[in-house]
Amino acid sequence: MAVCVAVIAKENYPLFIKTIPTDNELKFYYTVHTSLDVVEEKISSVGKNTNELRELYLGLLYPTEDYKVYGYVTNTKVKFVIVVESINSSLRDNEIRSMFRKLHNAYVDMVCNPFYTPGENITSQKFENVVMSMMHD
Amino acid sequence: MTCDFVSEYNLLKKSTAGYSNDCLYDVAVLKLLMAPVQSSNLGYMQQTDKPRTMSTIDYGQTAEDHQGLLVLVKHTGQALSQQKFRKVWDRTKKLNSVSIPGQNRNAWVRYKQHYPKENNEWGDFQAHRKVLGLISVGECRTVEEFEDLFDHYKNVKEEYASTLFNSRLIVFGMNRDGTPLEEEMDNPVLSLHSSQDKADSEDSGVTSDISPSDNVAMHEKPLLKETKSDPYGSVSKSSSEGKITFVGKKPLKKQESSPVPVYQYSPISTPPGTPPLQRPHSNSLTKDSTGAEVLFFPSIQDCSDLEEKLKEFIVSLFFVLEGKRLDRSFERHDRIQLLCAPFERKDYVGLDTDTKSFRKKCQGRLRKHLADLCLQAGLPGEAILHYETAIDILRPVNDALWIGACYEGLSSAAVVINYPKSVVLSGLRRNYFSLSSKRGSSMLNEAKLRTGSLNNKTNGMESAPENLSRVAPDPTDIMDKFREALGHYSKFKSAAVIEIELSLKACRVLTMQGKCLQASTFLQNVIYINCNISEEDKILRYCTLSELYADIGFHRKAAFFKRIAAMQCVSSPQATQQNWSCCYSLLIQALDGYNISHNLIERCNGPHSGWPVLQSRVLNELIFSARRMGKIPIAIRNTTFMIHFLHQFMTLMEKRDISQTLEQLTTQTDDGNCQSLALDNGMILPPVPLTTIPYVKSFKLIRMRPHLEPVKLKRYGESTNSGPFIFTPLNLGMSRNDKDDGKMDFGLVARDVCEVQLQVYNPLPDELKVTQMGLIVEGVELEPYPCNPSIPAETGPYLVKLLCRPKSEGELHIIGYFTKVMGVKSQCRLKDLDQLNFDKIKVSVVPPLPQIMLTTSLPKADNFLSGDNSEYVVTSGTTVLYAGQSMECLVTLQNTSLQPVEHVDAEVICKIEEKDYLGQVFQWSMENIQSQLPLQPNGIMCFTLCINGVSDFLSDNVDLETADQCVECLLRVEYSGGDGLQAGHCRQCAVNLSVDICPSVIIQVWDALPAERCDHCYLIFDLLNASGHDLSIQHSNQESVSILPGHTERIAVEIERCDFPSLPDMTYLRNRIKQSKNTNHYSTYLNQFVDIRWKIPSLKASGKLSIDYIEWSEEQLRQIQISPIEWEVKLNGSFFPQKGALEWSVLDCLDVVASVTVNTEESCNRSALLYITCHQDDDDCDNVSVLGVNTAFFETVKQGQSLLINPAFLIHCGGIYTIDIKCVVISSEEVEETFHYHPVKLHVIEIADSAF
Repeated sequence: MAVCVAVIAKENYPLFIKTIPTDNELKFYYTVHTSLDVVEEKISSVGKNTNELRELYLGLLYPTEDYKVYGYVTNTKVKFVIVVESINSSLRDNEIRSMFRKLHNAYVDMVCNPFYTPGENITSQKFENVVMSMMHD
Repeated sequence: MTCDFVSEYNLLKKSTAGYSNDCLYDVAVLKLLMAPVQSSNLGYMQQTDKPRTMSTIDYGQTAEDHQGLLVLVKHTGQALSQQKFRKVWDRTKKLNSVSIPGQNRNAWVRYKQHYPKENNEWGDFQAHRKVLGLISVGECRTVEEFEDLFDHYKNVKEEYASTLFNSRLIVFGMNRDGTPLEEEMDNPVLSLHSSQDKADSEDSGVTSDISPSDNVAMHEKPLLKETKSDPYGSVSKSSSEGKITFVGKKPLKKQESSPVPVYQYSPISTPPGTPPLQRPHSNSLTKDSTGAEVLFFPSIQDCSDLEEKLKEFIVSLFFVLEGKRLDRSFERHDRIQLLCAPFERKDYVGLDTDTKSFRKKCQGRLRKHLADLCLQAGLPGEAILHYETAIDILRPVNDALWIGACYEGLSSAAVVINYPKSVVLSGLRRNYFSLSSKRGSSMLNEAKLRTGSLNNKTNGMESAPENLSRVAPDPTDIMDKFREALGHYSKFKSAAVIEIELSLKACRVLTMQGKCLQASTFLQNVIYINCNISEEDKILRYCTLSELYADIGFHRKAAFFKRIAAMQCVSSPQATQQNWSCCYSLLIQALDGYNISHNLIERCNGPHSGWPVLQSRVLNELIFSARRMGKIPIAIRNTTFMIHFLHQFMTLMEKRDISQTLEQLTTQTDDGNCQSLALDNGMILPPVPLTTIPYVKSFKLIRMRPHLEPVKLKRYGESTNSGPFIFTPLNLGMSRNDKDDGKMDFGLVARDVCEVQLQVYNPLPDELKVTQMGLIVEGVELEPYPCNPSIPAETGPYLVKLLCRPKSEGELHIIGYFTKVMGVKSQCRLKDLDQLNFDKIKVSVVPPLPQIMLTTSLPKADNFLSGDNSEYVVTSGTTVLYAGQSMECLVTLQNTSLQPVEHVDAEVICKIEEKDYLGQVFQWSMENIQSQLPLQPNGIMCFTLCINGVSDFLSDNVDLETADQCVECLLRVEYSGGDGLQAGHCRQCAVNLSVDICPSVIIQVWDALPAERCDHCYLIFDLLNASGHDLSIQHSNQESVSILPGHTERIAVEIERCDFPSLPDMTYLRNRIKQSKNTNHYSTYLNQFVDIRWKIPSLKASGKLSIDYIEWSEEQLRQIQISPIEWEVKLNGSFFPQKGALEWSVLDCLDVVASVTVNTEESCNRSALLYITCHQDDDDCDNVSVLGVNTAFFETVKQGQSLLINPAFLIHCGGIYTIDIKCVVISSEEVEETFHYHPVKLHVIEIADSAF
């Protein structure tokens, strides 16, 4: 379903990035990297206006020719970015949300590992399995 | 539509492929990847109808430009230098807003130096695209030259004739009347020549530009590019401006038959109320029937009225426009002309013009055009109303393109009303750009400024201010209008340029409003709009996108497009068209977006931020383009930076590749490459110190070896005990995070080598050869000893020693180290190394000191106990002595330095309680040492050290084996000389001396007995031979007594009785620790009279017995002391033997004669009692009978008087008896003083009766 899943640290460097197909990895790197501009803009504009809890799901960040980029920011400012193919129009917003929830849960499980230092690259096999399942659904 | 975006990704894909194959992908790959892009573009080019389509996109256009009158400023002729033209251009540009006299309105002007004719043709569609005015600027000296100028001016004028309202030719270098300078210098008459205004049938649209600042930004596009974002610096100028060249374009050699040009004055058709602009000139000749206005100025310095003239010119333009506006608004023609966009014309050829819809179209379009004119004429409110009407008219006939244009005009007018600009802004804009703005702040600030200035605007920009706010759409609606317009435009392929410009305008407005996300959607749209544009324009387009993204704070996106633009620069398949330096300068601007900063200070210390994959990609491209440019130093700098910045993220192969690249690059230049490099665009590439290769884990200045370290001379540093030492475990007032000041607690000596030890790591997979490595210091000149360590691959810590020799004294600051790795010189400062907690190492260097070698004649000890301060021990000596034995050893000092030794001092270092004792063991002569000074270089000096086997000769311990005493101490020699001595410094070294003192003779028992002569006494010693060898004792000139090992011999030494000196005051000792062994005051005195020597023949050792430590009892002391009473006691008429008890027998009568002489003075009224008792034990016993008087009292005793008593004792039973002789002297004050004679023991034997 998803063609690229990325986890980005609070300081905006990548913690985890997985793409299919892998041969065009760099393209997704650029896509995800530039999407951070939109993520930051969205976070900052919300922060200015309300003190209420913002929604973690940011929605569609921007559409490109072939892909749609969705974003999600945890309360600790860890960013998740999912890229799906545009032709996959059957994908509903709710499904994207549930993907992010799943990803968030997997991330939380991964962070709970006492041997993981926050800020390190994610190497957990379990986490990767979850991501892979999202990409092959 | 999506061709460009696709091509971007093509580009990406291809470059990715190139990258994955090889870090520094080859040009061939680049060419290859650019090829499909090129061809696809060509394909579009062929399809399109070229002349009808506007191909030059004005990327700088803003919504306010709809308001401005477009004026072309041309550089004419070769005589005028570029600088002069630039001056005129700058002065002209400032006149972007001219207030119209009597109209309470402003004319906004947009100046351009170049404007393509195709764009001018779109003037009907949008009036602000029409060139309304022309100003040609030239210089000439002679009339002939002037004619050339004029011809050229005319040609240009022809080009834009269809839209021009008015024009001027500004000529420098002539008198104001148009005559050459030589003729008349001070002709005051202005040479203004009127040009007949072409009553053109077509409408003229002059954009009224509200913003002076934007105007600047726009007209100065190439200039701005350089200062702000600079897509390709000077290159952009040549590419965009290069199309129109002044040089060589006009025929210079053109000869006119009439030497003096004649101009015709014809008044311009201006609306009433306008002051006449032109004045006839006396000399003017009619040159051309079309007429032109020529302004003559002698020089650029002498044209203060230029602005005034230009204002007049602008006003003239405005009134032509105003005339047209008024003319149109009341026009009610039945047969009105259809206004067309250039590409529409062919569609309307042969079309039935008599339909209702056609008339509607004509009407609507005309109304829209009228609105444009209103907007330009400074009436945005009126313009809005006209636009709305036009929309209403056009909507039924479905004229989408023009409805779009109406919406665009509407929103532009709304922007003009909502965000009016004040003239003041013009100076500020540039500053906003120069500040790297946060998230569109420059625009936001400007918006604030503008809205703030709304209230105090008095320059009459709003002709109908009261209804402006009513008619103008709400700021939030502006975006909707823009969207609407965009929707309509997008239906026409040929309007792509209009659509792109609209998107950019909309984006700028939204950015100003702070709606970054919405602005980004418009920018996104620009990518999707397909438009066949030249390669150079593509670069410009990407750069513009990048800038606008940067304005809204999308720095990553901005960097992305900067990179795309850079790739575009070299996309051409022909090598000649690849502009690598442009590519480079664009790429380097993209670095910020990838979180790469060349500036060391900006570099964050925290975790690595950014995307290593993308960073390495863009850096690789940067390096590659630098190499293609042929700028090897820059390529080296970039490579160095990359290896320094990214090596931790690189794979083994990548690391290997980049190190090889760097090594290869550095072989091409012998420059060390540690200076800042200036790029063509003014950017500075600071040097990159390779602080991570090798990585320095620790940096430590090693103190000199202890015996070489300088110490303060005692006489200079007497107050070493500066105060009480108080220790606290609390860390008071010290912040742990502060870097300490790096002050070392030791010193160095000038001209002596010092050493810094570094622990380094090599992160690279190959052996790292550091070809040069040394220290960077301040304060003291150093003689460096560079080293060239070679660090094995991926290892650490590896020890590197950096040596140097300070040349003079002072405070030395070690601030860093330099390396040369892979041909790159780096200067690494300690303050830049986060792993070290100091910025510099400070150490004081003292003046040069001599150095000596210390040796002794003693054998060296195998091992010795080290004391507290034994670091500076250089040698050792050991020996064995028997108690009382003495020996001499030779201590040799050799001066091994080039400095003379002028001061030597020696002392024994030991525990304070052993000081006295060791002072006796080791003795030397200071005078001897002093007499040998100074010690010249290579000189040798010796002194004798006496070692005495000092012992107490007593033994508490019965076990003789453990009685060996080991004495250990340091003989510290401090020495100095030369400048170091002057400065109060010295060096110290020491011999560790250890002496085993073996017991020789032990005094087991001692006693004192009276001698035969009453002024003498005997000291009795029982001596034990503890040496383990045969030993002989000699004393007082007597026969030597030999003692076998373990045997005891009694020795009696007769000495004169003596008066002891009074006891020293011992109170000062109370505070001191009780000394383990205290010499006895009396014994020390007696020692000088006793001379007992021992000799061990087998060892050829000899020594003197000392009785210093013997404790004497009261009674014994009495015997030794000279008594005030002289006793003369005889038993049975003879002096009784000293030793043992007197043998006696029962029934024998013991006759005792005791004579006492009292020698003390002061004897008046003195009495004495003398009595003798004999008793067994302490009891009075019945076994003794006293015969005669045993007690006598003498009334008066005089000095020297002998008192005599002579009793006899008869002892009845055997046993041991004591005869006690006492004398009590009673002074006149009844004070009794009792003296005892040495008690005499009697051993009485019972004799058997049979003896009788």
